[in-house]
Amino acid sequence: MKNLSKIAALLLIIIFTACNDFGDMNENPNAPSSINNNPELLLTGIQKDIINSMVNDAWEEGNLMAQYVAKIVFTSFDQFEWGSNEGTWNTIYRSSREVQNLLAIAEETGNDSYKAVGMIMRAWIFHILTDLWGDVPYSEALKGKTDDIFAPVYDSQQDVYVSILADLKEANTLLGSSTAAVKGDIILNGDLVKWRKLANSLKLRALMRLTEVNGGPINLVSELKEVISNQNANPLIMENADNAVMTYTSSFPNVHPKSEASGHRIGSYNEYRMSETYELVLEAYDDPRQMALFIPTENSVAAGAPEYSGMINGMVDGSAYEYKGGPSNISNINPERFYYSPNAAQALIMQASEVHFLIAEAAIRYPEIAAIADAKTFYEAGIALNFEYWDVEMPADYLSRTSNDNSYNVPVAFDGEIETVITQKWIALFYTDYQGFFDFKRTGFPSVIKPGPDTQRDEYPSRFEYPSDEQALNNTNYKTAISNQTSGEYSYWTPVWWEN
Amino acid sequence: MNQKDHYNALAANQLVIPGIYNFSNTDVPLASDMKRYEKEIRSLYGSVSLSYNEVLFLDITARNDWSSTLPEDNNSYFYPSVTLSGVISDMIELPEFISFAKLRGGFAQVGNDTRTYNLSDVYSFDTAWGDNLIAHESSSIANANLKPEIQTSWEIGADVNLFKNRLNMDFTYYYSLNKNQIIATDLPNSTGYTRKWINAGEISSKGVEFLVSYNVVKNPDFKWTTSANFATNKTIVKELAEGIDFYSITGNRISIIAREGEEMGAMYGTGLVKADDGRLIYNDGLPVQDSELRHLGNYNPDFKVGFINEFNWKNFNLSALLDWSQGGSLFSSTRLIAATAGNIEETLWGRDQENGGVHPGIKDSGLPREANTSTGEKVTYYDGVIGDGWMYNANGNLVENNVVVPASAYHNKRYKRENEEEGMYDATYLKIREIRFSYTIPSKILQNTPIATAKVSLIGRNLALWTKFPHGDPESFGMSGDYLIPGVEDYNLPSLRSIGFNVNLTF
Repeated sequence: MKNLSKIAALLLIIIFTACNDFGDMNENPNAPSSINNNPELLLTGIQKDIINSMVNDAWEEGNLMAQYVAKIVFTSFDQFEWGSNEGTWNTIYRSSREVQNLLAIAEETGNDSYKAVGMIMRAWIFHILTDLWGDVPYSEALKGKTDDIFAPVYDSQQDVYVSILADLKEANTLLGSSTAAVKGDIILNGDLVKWRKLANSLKLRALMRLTEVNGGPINLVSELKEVISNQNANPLIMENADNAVMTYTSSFPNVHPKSEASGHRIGSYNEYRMSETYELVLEAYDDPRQMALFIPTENSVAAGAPEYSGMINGMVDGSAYEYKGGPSNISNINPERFYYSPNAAQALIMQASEVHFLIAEAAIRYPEIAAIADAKTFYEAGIALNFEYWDVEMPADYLSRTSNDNSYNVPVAFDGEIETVITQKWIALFYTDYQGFFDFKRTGFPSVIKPGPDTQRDEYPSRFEYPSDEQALNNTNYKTAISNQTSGEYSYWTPVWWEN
Repeated sequence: MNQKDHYNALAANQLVIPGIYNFSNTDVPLASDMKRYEKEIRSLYGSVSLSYNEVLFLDITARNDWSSTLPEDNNSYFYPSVTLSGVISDMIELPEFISFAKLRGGFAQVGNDTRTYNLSDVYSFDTAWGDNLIAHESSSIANANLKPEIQTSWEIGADVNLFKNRLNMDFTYYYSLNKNQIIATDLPNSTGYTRKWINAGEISSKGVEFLVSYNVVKNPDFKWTTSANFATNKTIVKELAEGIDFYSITGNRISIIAREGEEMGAMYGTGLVKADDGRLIYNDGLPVQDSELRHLGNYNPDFKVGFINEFNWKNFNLSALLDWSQGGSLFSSTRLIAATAGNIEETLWGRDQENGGVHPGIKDSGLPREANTSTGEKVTYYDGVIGDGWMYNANGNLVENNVVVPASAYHNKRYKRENEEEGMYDATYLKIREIRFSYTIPSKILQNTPIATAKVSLIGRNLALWTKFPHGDPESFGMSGDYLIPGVEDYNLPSLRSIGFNVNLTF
């Protein structure tokens, strides 16, 4: 009996000590906990997410905000009800967190190429983020896991610019020497020279956004000079072969997200039409790019006299659908290129034409740049590159044309005016995320962009609202950010830092 | 207990030759998915039941679990229960009208683990891009230090039967404390993540349940029993884990935000700009969205009551169950979506002359509101509304809104899905949940058959609903990840009314 109880006690001890050991049963067998040896799996995922988000945003928002297109139904966005665009905010932060993981792996494995590519992508999207929202969480952002920061503070837009410029500079330096291969790159196919060109071109884009900013830590002209003057140390995207653009695959699921093959409905596609604003400028120059991007109205084709006719931006729902007698009298966006082909339309990040216009504008503004770059040459090359990109033959006299529309007297022929350069740049930035809109907010050009008849205010907005998540979950910092940016009421019309 | 779950799927998403369901007949790369889960819980369990003189009863249970899903140094949790009850009516002499009286008190704990593989993050695979495989880090942050959750509850209650057991009452008061509840709290996306697994702290819940039933008629041939139950509950967030002031769960646009010291179930969302008197302030004739988050209600009802009546007459039996839920808030996605599409009654207003549509001169766009039809007839459109509320005049003062806008623009703007406040309703309802009519076939008839008993019934469920919510059943739940969010109606199918016939045989 005595022994029995001893044995029982022993058994209990054994049970209690052995019970909590389950070996590796709770280790997830379905997915890896580290992918240090395969960073390309992360890279492809990041690129796919960002690219799709930017293409959708360009279609649904950017093209409307820059008035390339206008909607015939569901026009509230065009009436300046811009909302918070939470989806883009979330994609940018999520993708940047994946970039951060990519950078950590690159750091650990000593692969500077992945590091540079990661930094360039992060700079590209954070630049768009801060231009759309102003002050944003940056220095404390993305640290939910590494530093237990669950409510990151907002950084001023100026500080974000400083960091972006520094990152692009570092990426350019890293790519000057790193030869380690980058795999899984669906945008530039692992071509490190092209990445380097993109880094410097993005830097040029970010710098030229600051033409209206006085003072501050960024010495605009000397930075510009550094990028533009030394093409060996700072190669730029100078020809269309170097463009940062991505071609989708020809079969589902990785086809262009607004193509028929993606499952996008034709009805949704047809909500978006050529705008009267874009029409006015293209027709003022008798610009054949109009025919590449749009098609004549259905009724005019049926009547045997094809004609282009645009939609007005910012008209109230209902009236918009009846405008000009209905949708059959309004031009569609060329469906052969942008809808029926799974991948004829590319995802546009940054092109040689934009780089040329940036340099042309810099040369007009600053004598130091004029000394190293001829504005007219870059301006005209920029136009030619865009014609080449759309595969449209540039009319022989195009570069000497003037406007044939009295309501818009800006010529094509180079006249040393910033508005002339920005007008061509605007034409060229069609379907390139929000870039056409940003230039308009910075320069006020092209001045034909105006609030539509039924917009909330007769004033063009500047930004999106912050997502409601930030209000609910990061309230203190959100409130501080708002009071840092405006003493009055915060709204779509609160200007961002670099605005005129 | 050991649970294994293996899931393998292979799919050909497009076929070359229609109708031939063979993996070889695929037009696109085959899609595969494979998951394995394993989980084990080891338990020790003991129980003791004691009774004294058949009047005092004591039940004790004790259990210890070890779960493979928790961290090794924290995967053991012990949870006992003790229940004491005494039949007072057998212990002491009570007035004669009290036929039976019992008091009970109890204490119980229940422990819980978490889901499998919840302690560490992994990279998961996504649809490949051509030949390029894709992996993503999980968007939720795992927690390697999760503790088991323990719910402790205390309960006292009484069962009292009066008047020869004709009136029966059952009363319960409970208090429970949920400690270390394992939840995934929302994070702002700017942290890089969307959720983090935490032990939430302490959430207390107390409530009263009361049941009365009365045998109104008690004849051998005819019996009528009526009973009612009443329940109310209040859940308070007593304490949250170190370092967090609140946690939030978002369900279909509505945020449920739990703050320390406040009642659970507070619903937050956005609405339209309003004046102090609650009327809308219009801009150019249209309501204006206000992006500031506001408190919209609480999904908890004030109380719930159920009524049951049962009649027996010879072999017939008729029973009816009514449910009444008072108070609580409901958010309806259906209302907002259907209203922006112009599919519900609210949006009839202003569409045409019959529905109060006003003539024209729609602001700004200045479109002609008169047109000629194909036969040359002149028609005037009356699809305008003047929203009820204020607007600012040129001096910045509030004046009565007088701007005409097209009805579609008004309804679209007012019921936009971002204006959650416009989708809020009082969730009070009264329901005939069930009526059942049955007939038991007399045993005499069945004497020479193998059937021992036979009963046929006609059962109707969800027969009627009275509520202020016109677009479905207010007893709805939304989903957020793994959670059910009460008070959110998210394009739910209307609940079904069913009328069925039931034959019950025993052999």
